[in-house]
Amino acid sequence: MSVLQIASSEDEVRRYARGALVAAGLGDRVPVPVEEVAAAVNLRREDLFDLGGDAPPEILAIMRKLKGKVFGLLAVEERRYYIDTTVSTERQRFTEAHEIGHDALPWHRAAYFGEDKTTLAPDTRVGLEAEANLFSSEILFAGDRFNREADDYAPSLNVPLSLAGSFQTSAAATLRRYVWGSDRDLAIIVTGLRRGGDGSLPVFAELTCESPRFRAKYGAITDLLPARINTALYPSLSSVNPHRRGSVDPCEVVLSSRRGSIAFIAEGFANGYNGFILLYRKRRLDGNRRLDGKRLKLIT
Amino acid sequence: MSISRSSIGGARTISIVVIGLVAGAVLLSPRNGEQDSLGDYLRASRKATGLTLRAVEAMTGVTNGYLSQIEGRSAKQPSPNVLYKLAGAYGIDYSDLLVRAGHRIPSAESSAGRPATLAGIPLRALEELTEQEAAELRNYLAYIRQKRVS
Repeated sequence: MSVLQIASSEDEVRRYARGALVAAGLGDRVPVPVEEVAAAVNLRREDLFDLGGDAPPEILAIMRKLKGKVFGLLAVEERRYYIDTTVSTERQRFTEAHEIGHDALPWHRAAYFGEDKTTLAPDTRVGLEAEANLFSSEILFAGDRFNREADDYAPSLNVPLSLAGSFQTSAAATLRRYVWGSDRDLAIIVTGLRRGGDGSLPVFAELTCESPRFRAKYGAITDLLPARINTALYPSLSSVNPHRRGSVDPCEVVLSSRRGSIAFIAEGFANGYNGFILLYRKRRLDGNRRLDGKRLKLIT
Repeated sequence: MSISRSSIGGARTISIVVIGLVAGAVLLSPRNGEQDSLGDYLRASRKATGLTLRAVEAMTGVTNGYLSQIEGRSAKQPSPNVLYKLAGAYGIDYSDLLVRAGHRIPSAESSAGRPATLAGIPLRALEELTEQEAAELRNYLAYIRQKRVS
């Protein structure tokens, strides 16, 4: 898909998601009650794996096979979606809003549920799943509300990690949303946790992103980075590993951009699956509020 | 869920005569033919409705420049979202446009004949599973539905 198409699609997805929020009449409530959004579009939630106590052995065997593979599914004409309620609340909420998106975005229905002689092209499927993810993000972060609230504070990793508790969203999703929707100069580098022979970590370009303002000033963050991060670039790298969950002490990262060499403050975080490095510029006079450490509630 | 297919400009083949080498026709693949016909088909559909490019832009939000690219075949695969809007504006079948644009492709042999529905219920998850997993999921959901009814 061209950049033009993706931009057009993003705007549409956001419009439909915000329409669903308005239809549900939620006002400023957070965490967003996803089941009420579903009810507003006439969908009912069902537990995918709650069979009661009398299920036959062959059905229980199927259930065990499906667990971990199917987190949610949508039955459009039945007006129901089925959710695996054994996973974390954050994961359930994301899946719910994702499935609602497949129903609420009108071009998704016939795309997925065409006649049996054809199937979705792989690239198209990836694009539609990304749209449903964006819809889910718009619902869970209540449109612009999360970013408006986050941008009230001086940039810091603590801001999204603290707000994740209020919005009941995962740390990973919240970190990326924080950067993606911010009006500040922010970027986030997402890495794998499997080290190369030289101790470097791979940059996951598809998950790494920057704010629009960062992009306008310095360019896309992936254009400023090598394919792998080493300690010469990010001195705190050794603290980002699979055995440690939580924040990593800040340090300085210098990147070459179209504005020359720029020094950023880099705050690291690991959740056991990925490393996250938040980049922002230090300002001499920052009149923004800072988060009180006592308010922190880390979601890992 | 059955989707009706438009009869206008269905799958077609293009014949090319190669002078001096092959005295006959070389049939290009149907998929190429369908992709190439998308722009022509959309132009014909727009003209049949009497709409100008600017009028379509006003109705759908798709810019007239991009519409012109689609009709002129320089934009070969408009997104499903754009095709949905154009199908609505022209009163044509969206599912057919998805096939013409290559968003829906012929099912692989392994999944041919696999129903995408369970007792009339389209299930999105079925397209993402192996054939065996999909069959098991259908049985599983049939059990849940039966339990709900009883």
